[in-house]
Amino acid sequence: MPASWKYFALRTFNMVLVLVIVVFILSASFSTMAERELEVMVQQQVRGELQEFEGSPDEVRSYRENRTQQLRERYNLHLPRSQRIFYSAYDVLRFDFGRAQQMTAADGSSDVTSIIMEYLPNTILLFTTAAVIYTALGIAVGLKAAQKAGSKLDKFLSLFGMTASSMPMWWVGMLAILVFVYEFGWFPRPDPSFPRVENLGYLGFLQELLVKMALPLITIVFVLFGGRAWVTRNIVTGILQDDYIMAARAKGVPERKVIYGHTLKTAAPPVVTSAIMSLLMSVGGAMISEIVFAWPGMGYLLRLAIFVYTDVPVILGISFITAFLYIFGYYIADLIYGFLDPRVEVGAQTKTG
Amino acid sequence: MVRWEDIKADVKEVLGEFKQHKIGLIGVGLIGFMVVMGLLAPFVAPGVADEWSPAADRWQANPRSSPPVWVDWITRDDYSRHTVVDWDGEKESQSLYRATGSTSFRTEVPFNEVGNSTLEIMHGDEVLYNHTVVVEERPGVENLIVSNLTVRPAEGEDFEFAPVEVVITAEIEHDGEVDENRTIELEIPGQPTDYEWTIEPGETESVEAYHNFELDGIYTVILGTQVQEIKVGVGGDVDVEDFTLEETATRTATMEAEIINVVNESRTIRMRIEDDEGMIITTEDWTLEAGERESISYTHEFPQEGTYYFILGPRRRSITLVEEDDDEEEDAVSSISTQQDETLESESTSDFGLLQQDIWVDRFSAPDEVTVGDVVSIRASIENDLPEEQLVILRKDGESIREVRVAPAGMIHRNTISFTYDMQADRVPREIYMKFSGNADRYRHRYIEIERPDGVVLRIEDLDRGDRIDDFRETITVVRRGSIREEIYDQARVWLRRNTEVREFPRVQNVHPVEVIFGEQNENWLHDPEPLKGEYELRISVDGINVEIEDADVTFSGAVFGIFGTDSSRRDIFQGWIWGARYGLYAGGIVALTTIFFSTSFGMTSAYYGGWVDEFMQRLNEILMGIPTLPILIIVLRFWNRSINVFVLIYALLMWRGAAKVIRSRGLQVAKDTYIEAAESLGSGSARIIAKHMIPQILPYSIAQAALLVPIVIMAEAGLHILGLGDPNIVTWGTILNDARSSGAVMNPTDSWFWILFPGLGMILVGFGFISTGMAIERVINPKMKQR
Repeated sequence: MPASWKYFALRTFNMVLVLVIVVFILSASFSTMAERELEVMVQQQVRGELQEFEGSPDEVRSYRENRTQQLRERYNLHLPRSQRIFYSAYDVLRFDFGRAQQMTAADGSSDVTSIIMEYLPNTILLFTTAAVIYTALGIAVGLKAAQKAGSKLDKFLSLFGMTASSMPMWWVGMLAILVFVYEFGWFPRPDPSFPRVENLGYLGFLQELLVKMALPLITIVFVLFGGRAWVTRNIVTGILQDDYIMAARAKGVPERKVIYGHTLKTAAPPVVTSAIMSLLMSVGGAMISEIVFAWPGMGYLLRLAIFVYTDVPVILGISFITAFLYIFGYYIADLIYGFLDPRVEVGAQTKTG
Repeated sequence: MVRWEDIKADVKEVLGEFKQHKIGLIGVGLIGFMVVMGLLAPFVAPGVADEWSPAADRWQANPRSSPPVWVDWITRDDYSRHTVVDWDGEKESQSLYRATGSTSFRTEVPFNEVGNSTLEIMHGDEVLYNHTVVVEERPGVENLIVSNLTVRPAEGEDFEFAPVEVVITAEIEHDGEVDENRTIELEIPGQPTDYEWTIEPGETESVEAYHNFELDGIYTVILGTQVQEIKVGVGGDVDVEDFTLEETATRTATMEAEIINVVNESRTIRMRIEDDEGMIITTEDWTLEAGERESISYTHEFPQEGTYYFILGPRRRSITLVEEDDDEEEDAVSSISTQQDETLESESTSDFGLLQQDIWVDRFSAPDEVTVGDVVSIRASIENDLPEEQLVILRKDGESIREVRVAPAGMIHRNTISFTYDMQADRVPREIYMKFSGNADRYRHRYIEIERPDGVVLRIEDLDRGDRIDDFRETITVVRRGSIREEIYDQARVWLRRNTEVREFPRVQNVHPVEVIFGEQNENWLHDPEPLKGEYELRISVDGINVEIEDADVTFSGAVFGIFGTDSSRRDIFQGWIWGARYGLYAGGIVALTTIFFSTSFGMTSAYYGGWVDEFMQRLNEILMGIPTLPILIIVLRFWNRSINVFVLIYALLMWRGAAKVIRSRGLQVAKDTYIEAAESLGSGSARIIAKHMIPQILPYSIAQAALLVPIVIMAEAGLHILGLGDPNIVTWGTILNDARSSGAVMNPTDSWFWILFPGLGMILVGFGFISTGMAIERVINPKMKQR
């Protein structure tokens, strides 16, 4: 279908455009704002190296000068600001985030990308598992509530959805740890060390992992599923009042078929898109929750880089990778929407909403 | 022209419908309540936003980690309340003995001229003591001539505060008289240096060296025969005495010291805190006028465990902070190191004992021989048998280098004031604070006695701080981690050993001294004290001459406090909370208002003009929708400015995009409505049509969208604090929760559930208020969603 291809091409173009714009915005902000910080960083590093350096005063002086220049070039500080922005954006687009100042990966490498790649899978593991559970649960409960609009379940769900939407996930996490870990002792203490397959074997690893994951998982599902169910319910009840559904009901189409046949077909695109969108929106909250749960993911790494090590390249790397993931997720949501909803066309006639 | 009546009619209609939605009304009520709270913040808790630091004076008298007052009403146990007992003004005075006044001092003196140098201690015109120091020439390196030795800071212009890195430059000439290489070393007494240069015959070399001075002081840089003296920071102009460093709470250290300006000009002394990698964490300055003496205290809470150095002018102390852990073998360790304590080659120390004089030098120590360029420590103590304070002067070669006041002799009296406290609670006070101030001709020891209802008397004999002449202002605290806990612990242990079978005692760091003070004297006195109810008398005694106590009170800090309790740094959670409401609503409100403005203007323009304008604006909006917020927040807040206004600006610029989409699709429907076409055909301008016909219909939509954003903004702001990107200068719910998280509040449910619960409840209340209001508005305007 040519129209689909056109849609796909347009979305892809859009995604690339957004990616480039975002990378340039971030590079420009960073290059402008962190100039002094980088200069200090270079000086500190040279001073640190000089403490272990032995040689005659001339050697010291030349080492000092060469090394400073070398490092300034490394961070493009010798270039005018406009070029610096361009080069740093170029580096980022090549996935080259440079070397960390102090932090290292498990294998001792200080390459920012490999440090981040050590933490990223943990975030994905926790968050995807939670997302699958809460989305499925949310949609199922939301459908049920829509079917029985006005019932006790429906009213409770509205209340719960509204309350849960105004709770910060990480705060619920703090309370959960306070109550279930330290008061009742039902779950293990939060601890950033991660179980290893080599030490435990696959079964032991899985068991350990589940125990470790249980509380963060329950927290994320608890906080997000209410909102999801509520949004689903609102979309579906909206559709249930459409004329064609009324007509189908009047014709005597069985209720089950009305719900799962007619309604779901119409409801699928907005439900799925809003699910992905809310997933993207909750990444920030999930990253902060990792800090609370000491779950060694991106959020935990970010806090280490900001608070504990002040490691500029790592902070930068995390920012960009989060941005990439977000943009990519948004792109996927768009594609799915177009795929599910045959009415979507390209151009000004697009009916959104 | 927009007619006010039209808008009024529209608003009236919407309001009329809105009133039928109960949940919406609840939401509006909640918002109203929180707004009132936020508006009241400056009146209920004035100044708290600027003084949220744990070190601020306003918190010092509060109890630590106390639950809210109303816990007392809903539980069976009786909690002791926060009680301040003022001094009744009565003083008992008892004469003890007659004593001479005595003052010791130490000072660093540089010797920069070859020959004999005379040190004298003068009392008026009378020489109490003199001592001659032979200053010898420094042996140069044969055949090498050093010239142009300069020392200057590597960066900046002056040596105002340590640490300073200096550049040392000089020219070294080999006179060529021998055909041998000569090696010369750079020397800075008391400092490690490893610079050395080898010069070939007949050569002249320019040399350069770098050195870092970590502490204030007077240093000499020596290269061959050349000597250069430099003064870093206050040098020897400010004396530091009684420099103590103590762990006073979780990851919190308190430094106390006495600083004395010994010169006739004002001086600023800087304290800096470093971590074990030499990174400076914070600095604090104190300025002293000529001759002024001040007791200083500084509390700092660290974000993590570790070893930290407190450097106060010429002195350095370190402390290792570890999280409270029962398995921890060692307590906080502190050690002192001063750079001037180098060994001297020859030193004469004189002890003179009692002489039949009015004023005499009791002890004096100074070297007999020094090499030019040396800076040496001279110590002396002086006794005074005159009934008035005396001034003595240390002179070097006739020039005054230090003035010292010597306390008077006289009858020492013990002055005792007492306080009574009736303890009737099941939960004893958390801490005891004693404050007293006044003045004295001479002031020496202080003692504290606590007489309990069962007749047992516990004693706290604090350190002898030496003679003081000036006004005094003292604070003594009995807190869980304070230095007094050992004294209380030992007394209880002695009693247990003598009177019971108990031979195994809990470790001192696991015993709360206040619980022991108020504990029943039985086998469980140390293990698990049971409260002993009754009247306690607390007596403070001060020894000295003509001691006048002006002000004194004792605070028994309650086991419950305030509306929301206190945190582990004694801060009143409610006072922070109410400011959190203010800042949260400020951030959320501004973002909501800008969202209404941007989304309406953007969406309406797009919908009204249609065609390529709409197409272009839609593409633009799509691009905006794809921009992630978190990375932008991280970079801008981390590398530029963490102010809440920057956060608000970013959100205001980004958050309207979703709402604009909704507004546009709604606007398309409105624009198609016939009466707009009619208005258009009658020749109204487009601005007029948008303003008069479209905006009133659209506004409720954008308000509903904006209301839904408020909780998102508030939660995001709070979350940034957890990441370490929150505004450090204000207090929001995020600030409070981050403090709770980083202090390990989750690990002590009974001591801190309120600390975590209430800030979050604040967010829920505001969030619920805005979401339900927004939903109710949407239901009113969107007939499809009308359910009930």
